[in-house]
Amino acid sequence: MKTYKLWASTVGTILLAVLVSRAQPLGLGAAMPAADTKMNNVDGKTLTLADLKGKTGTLVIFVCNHCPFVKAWQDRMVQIANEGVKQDIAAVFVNSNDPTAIPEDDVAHMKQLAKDKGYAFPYVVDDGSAVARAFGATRTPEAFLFNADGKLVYHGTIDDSTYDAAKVTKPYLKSAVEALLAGKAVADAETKSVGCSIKFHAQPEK
Amino acid sequence: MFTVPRQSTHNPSHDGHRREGLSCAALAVALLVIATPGCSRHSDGPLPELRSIAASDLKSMLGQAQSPLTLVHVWASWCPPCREEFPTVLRFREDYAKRGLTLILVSADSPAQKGAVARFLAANGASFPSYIVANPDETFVNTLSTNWSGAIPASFFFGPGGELRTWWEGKTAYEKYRETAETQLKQETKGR
Repeated sequence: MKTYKLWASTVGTILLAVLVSRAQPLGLGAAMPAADTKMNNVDGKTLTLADLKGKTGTLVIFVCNHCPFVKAWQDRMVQIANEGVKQDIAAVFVNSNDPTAIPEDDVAHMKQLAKDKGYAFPYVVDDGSAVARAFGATRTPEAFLFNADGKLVYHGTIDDSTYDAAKVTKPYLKSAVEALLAGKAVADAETKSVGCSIKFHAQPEK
Repeated sequence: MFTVPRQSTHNPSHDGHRREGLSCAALAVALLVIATPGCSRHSDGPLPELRSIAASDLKSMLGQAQSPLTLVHVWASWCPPCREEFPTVLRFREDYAKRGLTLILVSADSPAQKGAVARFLAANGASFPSYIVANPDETFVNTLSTNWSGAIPASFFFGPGGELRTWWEGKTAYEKYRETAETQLKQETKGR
């Protein structure tokens, strides 16, 4: 009985480890993953990250509608993305959350948000969360900035003051975009902050 | 005997109705740190003490920790998996406090949400003092674990002196908390 219990617990632990394991986050210099995955934009069109790729670079931010961290950074993120778009840095916000887990993260709310906040860039549905998995993204908001060659030059959070824009001392993402535009290396290229966990869609059966 | 207030883990919605106590006004005077906005609404009992904490404060608190095992649990009052997991964390504290577990609850809610946090704590019977992080930035994330992505909920187990033993992110079942405590407390006893 004891042996059985031990065996069951070992198998259980291994199973659990397999179930919870996920891709490591993308390393600096890595090529843009899932570039050919088709995603639906809030304008009704379908696009891939490869279609979108900007002349100077590409900014991908995993976001959603409901998350208070995303809400806190919303205006700052939109400002950076809209500015980037003007300077040939393509931008896209990606929602990988399963709306059956969080109803507010559905397409209707995405459309409304993109309109209300004046997104000058696509806001796409990562149906099945395949793109988030390929990026190794875990939270919202989580930003990935690629250079003109599609190599990762920045991965991380927006800045160092989630709840108070007036107290930002390190505007990480803005500085990364500026460095990319100036042809310089990004100083703080990997940063973190507390964020909402991505509410992944269940993995499709293989 | 338990020093921890008993609370039903199966029916947490009833917990907030259990305690009668100080009026909101009296409580606000008694505990200046508490979020008074929560008091303007209805509340069935005293709101728990909720202090703002900076990453550096948390670091020194962990450095001075003497408990065999300290769990820092990061959550937020609006976060669905955090809310679902919350009774599990409280049950875990209740079951292991007498064996040397200290629970430090750290909310990552906005400071503007202090009232909502206090009300959620009270409604779940978490009447002991807890914390709300001043700024959930990279320093805070790395204070708990440099490998943590920052996604919540997340749980971090520390030994005496703030040595990180194990941690995870994501909503987790009671069984894993229990196994972790059994393993860690056994090691702690052996080590002494």
